[in-house]
Amino acid sequence: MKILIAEDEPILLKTMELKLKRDGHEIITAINGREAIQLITDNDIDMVITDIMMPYTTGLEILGFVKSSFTKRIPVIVLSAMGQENVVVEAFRLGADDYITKPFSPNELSLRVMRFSTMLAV
Amino acid sequence: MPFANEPGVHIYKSNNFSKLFQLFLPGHKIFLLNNITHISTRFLYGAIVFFSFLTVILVSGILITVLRKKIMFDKRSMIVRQLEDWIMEVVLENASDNQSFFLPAAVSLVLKSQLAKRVLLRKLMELKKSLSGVSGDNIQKVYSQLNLQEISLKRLESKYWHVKARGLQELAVMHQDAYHEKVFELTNNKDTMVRMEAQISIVRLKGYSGLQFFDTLSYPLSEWHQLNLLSLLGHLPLSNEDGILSWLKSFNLSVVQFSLKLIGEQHAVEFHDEVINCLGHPEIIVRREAILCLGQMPSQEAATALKAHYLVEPDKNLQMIVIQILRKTGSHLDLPFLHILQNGEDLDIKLVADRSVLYLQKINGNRQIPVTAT
Repeated sequence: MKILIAEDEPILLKTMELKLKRDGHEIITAINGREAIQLITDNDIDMVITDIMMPYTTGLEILGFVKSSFTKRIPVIVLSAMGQENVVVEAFRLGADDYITKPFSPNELSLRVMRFSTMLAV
Repeated sequence: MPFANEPGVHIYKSNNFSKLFQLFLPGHKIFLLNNITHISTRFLYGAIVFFSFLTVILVSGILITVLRKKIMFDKRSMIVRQLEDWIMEVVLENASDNQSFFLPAAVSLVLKSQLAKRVLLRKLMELKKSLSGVSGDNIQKVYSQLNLQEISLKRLESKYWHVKARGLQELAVMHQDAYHEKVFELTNNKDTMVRMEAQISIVRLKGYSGLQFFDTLSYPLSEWHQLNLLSLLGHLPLSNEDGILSWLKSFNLSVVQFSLKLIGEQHAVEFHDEVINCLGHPEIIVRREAILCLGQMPSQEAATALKAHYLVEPDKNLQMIVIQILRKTGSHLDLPFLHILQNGEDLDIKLVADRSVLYLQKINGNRQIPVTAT
């Protein structure tokens, strides 16, 4: 599966990238929202994992863009910090498929991605 | 006109201003006549040279600082590049409890420098805030394996509050229970920021037993800080052994206030009687908190205690809070009491009582309302 990860913390971004690469996915990374939207437009992405708080363009804007611009179903997993419950509600309203609260386990992320991967394959 | 033949500039200023010039520039020709100051061209050339020199020094200082920061930034970036692959390997490893992580020779070499250790510590802290589970545990293990606590402990001795605070955060985030005494020592520090960070850290490390600093705390806890501490303890159940009974009698009013907040937040009904005792406290902030706390533990006993307290409460604002709280904790049985207040003379009290009556009537629906006051 071709997955785009948008996260503004470089070391966390690379850790997630490595984890999902090991699971056999093709990973594209973006360090901010603007870059993420550009990469989503230029690549045939199957899934998006995005942090909510990011410079230039927020995760919610990326989510809105993905859900309104493509006919193909692209699942979006939202990463949120603790205490951002209101934002998570807003994310679901915009069509988010799942969310993970920081701090999270990379194994949990891996399993959630795998679930969507299986769903899309069916 | 004594300065008529002198080439120079005429500046119209007050006498005091001219005296200031004379004080700092003795030997220069500065003439004063009425409100007119005359500065010689020699002085102007001198001033130009002086300010040019000052500008050169300032610009050089800025350039040197920027350059030093740039060099430092490059060094840090290089260290991150050298370490990040290893960090990610370690974080994603499914390590067993006592397993120590393999340190490649290149990484070991880099980590000989203190700067590299500090950079690694910063990266581990960033990751620990975002990762949990096995990865979070691995980060803690690396911290201990490389003795990074030495850096954190050294930071506690710094004279700067922000450095101390960072050291405290590191020890708490990395769950360094063994150093809780060092953290505890700073919980009554004279610097507010250090004190707050130390208090948060000790609670993170020890839970309720970390609150033992209340016994010696000589500074008040701000409302904001009380909320921080409450959020840290929210998931832990409160018990009698945690010292809450002694904190309710503390000489530090903010400690009593916090304890009442904690009881209310946890709905700890076993401390019901102690909370009611606090209604008789001489200090208004404690009585207010006790009233709010009873509102968090709705029961007929709480409503009865609040009604009894209303009659002896000297502060009108607190009386109004009691009436508001009766909406939460009261029932249809309290309506006669509220009806009496509705018929009183004080307009503010009448208004609050009206609202409480309406609310209670609404939630109690068609239930029969007693006609006599309790």
